[in-house]
Amino acid sequence: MPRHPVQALAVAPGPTPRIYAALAETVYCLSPSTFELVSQWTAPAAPLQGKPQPLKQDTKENEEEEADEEEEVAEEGATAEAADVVMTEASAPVVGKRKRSPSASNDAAPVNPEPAPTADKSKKTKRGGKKKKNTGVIPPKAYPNYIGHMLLVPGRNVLAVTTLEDKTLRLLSQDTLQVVKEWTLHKRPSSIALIDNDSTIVVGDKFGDVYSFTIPPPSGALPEDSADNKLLLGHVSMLTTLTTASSSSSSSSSSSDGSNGHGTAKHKKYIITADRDEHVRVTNHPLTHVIHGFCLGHTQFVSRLLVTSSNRLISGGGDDWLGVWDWQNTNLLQTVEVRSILEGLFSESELKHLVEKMKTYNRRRRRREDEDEENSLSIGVNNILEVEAGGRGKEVVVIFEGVPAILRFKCNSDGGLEYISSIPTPGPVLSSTSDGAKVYIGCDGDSESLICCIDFTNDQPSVEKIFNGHSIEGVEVEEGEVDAVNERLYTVEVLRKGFGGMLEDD
Amino acid sequence: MENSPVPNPTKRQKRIDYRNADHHDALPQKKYYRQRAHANPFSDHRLSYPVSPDEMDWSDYFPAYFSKKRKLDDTAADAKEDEAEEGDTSAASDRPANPVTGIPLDTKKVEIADIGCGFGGLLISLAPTFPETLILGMEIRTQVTAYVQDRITALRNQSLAAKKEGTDGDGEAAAVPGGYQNIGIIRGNAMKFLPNFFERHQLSKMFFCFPDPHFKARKHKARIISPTLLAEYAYILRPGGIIYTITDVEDLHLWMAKHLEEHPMFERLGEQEQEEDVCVKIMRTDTEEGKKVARNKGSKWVACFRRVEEPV
Repeated sequence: MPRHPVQALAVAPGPTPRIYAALAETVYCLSPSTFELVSQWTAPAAPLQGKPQPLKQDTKENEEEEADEEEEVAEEGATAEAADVVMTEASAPVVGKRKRSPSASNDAAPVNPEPAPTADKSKKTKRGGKKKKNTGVIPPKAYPNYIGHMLLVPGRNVLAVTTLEDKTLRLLSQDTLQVVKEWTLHKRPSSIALIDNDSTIVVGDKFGDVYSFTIPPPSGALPEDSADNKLLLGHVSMLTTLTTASSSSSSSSSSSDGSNGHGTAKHKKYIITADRDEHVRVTNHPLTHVIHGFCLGHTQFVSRLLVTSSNRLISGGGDDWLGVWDWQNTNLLQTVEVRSILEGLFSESELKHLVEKMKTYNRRRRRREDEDEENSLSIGVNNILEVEAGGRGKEVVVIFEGVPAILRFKCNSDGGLEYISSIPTPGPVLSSTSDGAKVYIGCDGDSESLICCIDFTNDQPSVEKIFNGHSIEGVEVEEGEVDAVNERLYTVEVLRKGFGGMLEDD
Repeated sequence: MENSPVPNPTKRQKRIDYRNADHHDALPQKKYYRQRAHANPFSDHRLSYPVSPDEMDWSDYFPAYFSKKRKLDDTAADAKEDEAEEGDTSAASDRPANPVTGIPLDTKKVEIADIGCGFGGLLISLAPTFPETLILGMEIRTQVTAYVQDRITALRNQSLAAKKEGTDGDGEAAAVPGGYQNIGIIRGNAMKFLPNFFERHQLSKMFFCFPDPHFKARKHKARIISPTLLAEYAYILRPGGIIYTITDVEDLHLWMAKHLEEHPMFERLGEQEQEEDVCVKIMRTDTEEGKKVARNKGSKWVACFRRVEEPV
């Protein structure tokens, strides 16, 4: 049985370096020299969907919510995603109203918290066959509480970890992986980053909103202040990624790899967000009600952003090209074509095989369009990283979903990108992080290479298989589970429009 | 939300027949354009929108004011050619004028937006009130958009005919300043794509008339006025620009006023200033929804907010 691949990676530099690898619901803290297990933490099981409720009415509502959930998440970026928080806020009258049309606010059907079977029935007929699951009790499903993102907070000795099913952000101590602090998120997180000299975590969610969370200072006192769960900004679209930047031209961007972030207070700070509807938006921080501008040019979803050390923004997603932006003036400086590079890496039969393979990653969903393009690779950027390539200066590494190779680009003096070469990997790269001149990757497919490393100080950087998982339990993926697991791991291409929706949907 | 459960075949056929027939500049009849009152702002729909405001070809919506941006066969080579030509025209000091109306082309930008314009009552009243200003209605429902488009086309034609005859005519459109050339309608999702249409500080007025109330608490993000969307409206509105809101749902009115009041980029117009604003009067009486509320003797709540200067 194949091993579950590593879906998220983080590296802690310093005197006692650590590698953090997330496999399904567990975070493993490893020593990078010996790969002995230092500690591990497993996410608690997520509360079951459609919590059992004492009141008949409520149960029914939760069922509907569940029925809604998958559909809407897939199709429109999490409209109905477990609105538990909102639901509890909603007072009884609102719950009653939600079934009726606005103009009918004066008609009968009294708002009654008691389970009245007649009212129940009338509601059903009103909704007339719209929901298939209205009858009977649906047993709540237990989804594994996958680790979503890991982000090291420099100077605080904590690792920020999101879990996708219980929608929680936690701070784990760097060595023991004990939970220091946790926040319940409103919606499923889609991206996290650091801002304000690494004192604040910003979390973007699938509903399009960005919230901030202040990391408690090491002095001990945990101020329950207003910066917990503060809504900073929002898109009416699925937020795919975010990063932070500062107006200084001399590097102080703290991107998701959490390298550095020591911009002085004089420089203006910004949050850059991207969504499934092709937008890249630059918002002031902390004055997040002031939008600085939009970097418009993409014609497909944008899935990754990176602010380079030369303060250029690199954007990638479902387009055939990467964008290089002067983000402060929202100018697109360069489009770096990648389709021909990627397709040139493979022979015709290899390419065909790869395209077929990629179609299997999300079986439950179906493409509605471009079914005729058989040998055309679906391009979806999984990650963009910057590395210190020894004497060669900075290089940018781009990882594409499902492609067993990564692309290297040279950063020119003007901030533009120039293709250097590709590095073949033992399988599609699912997770990646950079640490100085090294890039760590987690690949799918080769059980011998759970974590690989690429050292960019070499003239010809290549993949070294450094860890086969000997010291950790890991997870084995059973035959019948492969599809379900793939669906959790390959999440980029799903952002493409015309791909959404469940099978019965059209 | 376009796939309504079971379309009535006769109704549908009537609609098709009606839409295919030539109506000689007669105003369209609403009954052939009915559509359910709501659309989900989060779903993809099948919208066309420009990649950025620079790419927008306004000539389809305001033919009197804009020249065609692209040729019909839009190949890459053509696009390049176009760009070159464009460069030439912008360099020339005197721009070509529209042969019919005599209005100089490509000198104006849309300045007023009616978000969720519905059947277009407000647009049509605003047109002669601001004859020199381009006003765009945005509506997410296809049928309703088609109705407003046909209505505008008919009004324009009536107005041109009246002008030609040199008489005051008897049609609704006769002798109307601007000849309805200054209003346009576009199908779109304003909650997602306003920045694709309008650049920073482009608009001077935005109208939100009788928006979908979205009563459910968990649907509040679908409301057209929300704390996060207000940042986008502030971005496309110029300092001093005004957001107009009107609704017959008191809860929604309180919600909109609360969020606008709390937003640092907006300040509320005083009672007197609000009541003296001609747009407020039009908004109360001339929107289709406003008329309906008046017929039902319902209440209407108005709140207007000015976009303040941004902090330095």
